[in-house]
Amino acid sequence: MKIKELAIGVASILFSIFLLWEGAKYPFFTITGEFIPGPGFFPLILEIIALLLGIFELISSFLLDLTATRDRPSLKSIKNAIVYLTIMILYVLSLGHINFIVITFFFLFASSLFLGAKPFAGLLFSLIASILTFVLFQIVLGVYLP
Amino acid sequence: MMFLLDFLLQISPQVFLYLVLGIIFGIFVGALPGFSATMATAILVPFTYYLDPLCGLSMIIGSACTSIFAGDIPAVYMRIPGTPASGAMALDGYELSKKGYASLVLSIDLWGSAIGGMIGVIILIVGSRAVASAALLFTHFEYFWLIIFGLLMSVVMSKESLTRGMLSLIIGIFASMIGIDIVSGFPRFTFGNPELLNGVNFIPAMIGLFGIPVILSEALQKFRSSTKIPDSQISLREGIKTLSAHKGIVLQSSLIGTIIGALPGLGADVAAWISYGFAERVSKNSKDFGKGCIEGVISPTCANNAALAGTWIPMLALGIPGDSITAIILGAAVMYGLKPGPFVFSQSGDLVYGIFLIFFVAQLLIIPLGHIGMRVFRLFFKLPKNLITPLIFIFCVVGSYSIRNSVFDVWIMLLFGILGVLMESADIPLTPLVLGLILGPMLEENLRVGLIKTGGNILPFVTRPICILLISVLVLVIIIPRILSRAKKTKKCITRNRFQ
Repeated sequence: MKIKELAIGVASILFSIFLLWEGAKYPFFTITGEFIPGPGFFPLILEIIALLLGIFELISSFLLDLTATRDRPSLKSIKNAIVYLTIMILYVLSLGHINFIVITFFFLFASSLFLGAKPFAGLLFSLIASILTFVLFQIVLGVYLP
Repeated sequence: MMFLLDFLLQISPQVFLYLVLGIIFGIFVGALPGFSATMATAILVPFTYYLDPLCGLSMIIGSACTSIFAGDIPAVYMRIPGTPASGAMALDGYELSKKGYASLVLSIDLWGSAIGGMIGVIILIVGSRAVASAALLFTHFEYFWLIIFGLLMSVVMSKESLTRGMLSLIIGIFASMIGIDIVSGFPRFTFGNPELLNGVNFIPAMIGLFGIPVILSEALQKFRSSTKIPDSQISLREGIKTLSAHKGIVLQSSLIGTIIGALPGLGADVAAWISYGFAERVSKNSKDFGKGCIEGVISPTCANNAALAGTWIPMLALGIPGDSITAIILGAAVMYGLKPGPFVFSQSGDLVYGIFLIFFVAQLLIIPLGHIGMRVFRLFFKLPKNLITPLIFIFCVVGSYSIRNSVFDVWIMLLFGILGVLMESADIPLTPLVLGLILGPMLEENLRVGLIKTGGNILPFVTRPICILLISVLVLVIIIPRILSRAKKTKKCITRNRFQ
């Protein structure tokens, strides 16, 4: 049995159940005396295909052996990715609440330190990059910034 | 040679100047990750309203042509497509770049864009009326099969299993269904969120899908040193040498690009993917696609620029925009006094032939100006990764935000980014999801409107001559090679067993 196939199979079955549950709220056909496929018609087709694919992956997971396994990322690297993703989410959350140049500077500086840059290089780069980003997009290109 | 010189002299210095300005602008915006050619055109159009029609159009054409080419630059260096049309380029272009061939890839890209664009322009000039009239024969039934063809190609070409490709496609189509139903006006999968009524914007989704996994992989590896992509000087000679060794694929991709571009609604991004998929199908090196194959670079780069010229065919001859770029241009063109439609050649002949000429010159100018642009951006992308990676995320955020000035789109980008990371770690290909997201609404609309037209009768979908032709091509290109390869495998097994 292969864990990855099992996980994909279970995930796609859950996805199709979600589609079925949510899609059931929309009419499959609009009854006006004529055949008119409604907003639930196309999702229904997708639900069936997703369900079949999930079952197929699930069956495959039981039929396959464990001989071919891939290198998995270490726990530490997964932790790094989660921490960096959190920094990104915090940055997006603060958009519109804190001045763009200020928050961008802090994000760039924190990120560069996290990714292993030297503090002075990170500080200088973050300062220049946050100001240049503002000048380039807001002033030169006329793009509105959050 | 004299003919070419005479031809080029038809362009006034003023028009030439605006064309050059448009090209510079296009390279600049196109090379910024997340800033699409559509966005470059949208930003530029308001500035051209006050210009002479030919000057304004030359600026727009110059920008559109080069922004698609320039979108390949970040795709090669960082696997983040600068424009949606560069998505296919991010696969093999980036893989080759990691091996130290970034300069060769960009040189191929430069020449491929110019040659593909040139072939597209020639087809635009010579066959615009004929291709447009052929596209007129397409109804909902034919479009349905054409879209199915494009979608299945993306599934088949994925390296992973067919079921995972299909799963990715289903996720993409599901995401495309979010929002108001195009046929009945019924809101679907919005969960009461008014922001979702407009649906999932394709550009932030694509920025997230391709950009965030790359950014997070940097965090996974946590660069303690300034890791750089190995590279050499950009040599234009090497690029043209490589292309001349692959003439067939250049011609094939340019033709596919122009034809796909000429079919309304598909555009340069779909053309690049379909061309990539087709090249993989017919190539002897199909196993190397996605791992750093030169043919996987040539194919999308020729196709996306050729498609741009192709998208002008239905816009000029039918008044139907070929993609989002020509949709914006259509509005501007009407203001310039151009009357797109069957009578465009008789009513606005001078302007139309002027457009053809500008297109032609723009392809020639891509080479010197694009070369300069590549050198400038190369310096930018060569900065230490632990500094450049967070800045790329800022570009992804600004690019996503600027489409509708909405932070919600930034969340969409981030959400699709996380989805991309999960999918990549589960070996689920991203390409079918992207195509599902683009073509999903068109697939559903054509299926449902077709069924409404026939009162639920499915037969016209399989009995109309063009449908039969498309189904046959589908079987030939997709199904038969799989059956043959399986048969070959079985034969090998039998032979091995016999000798044992």
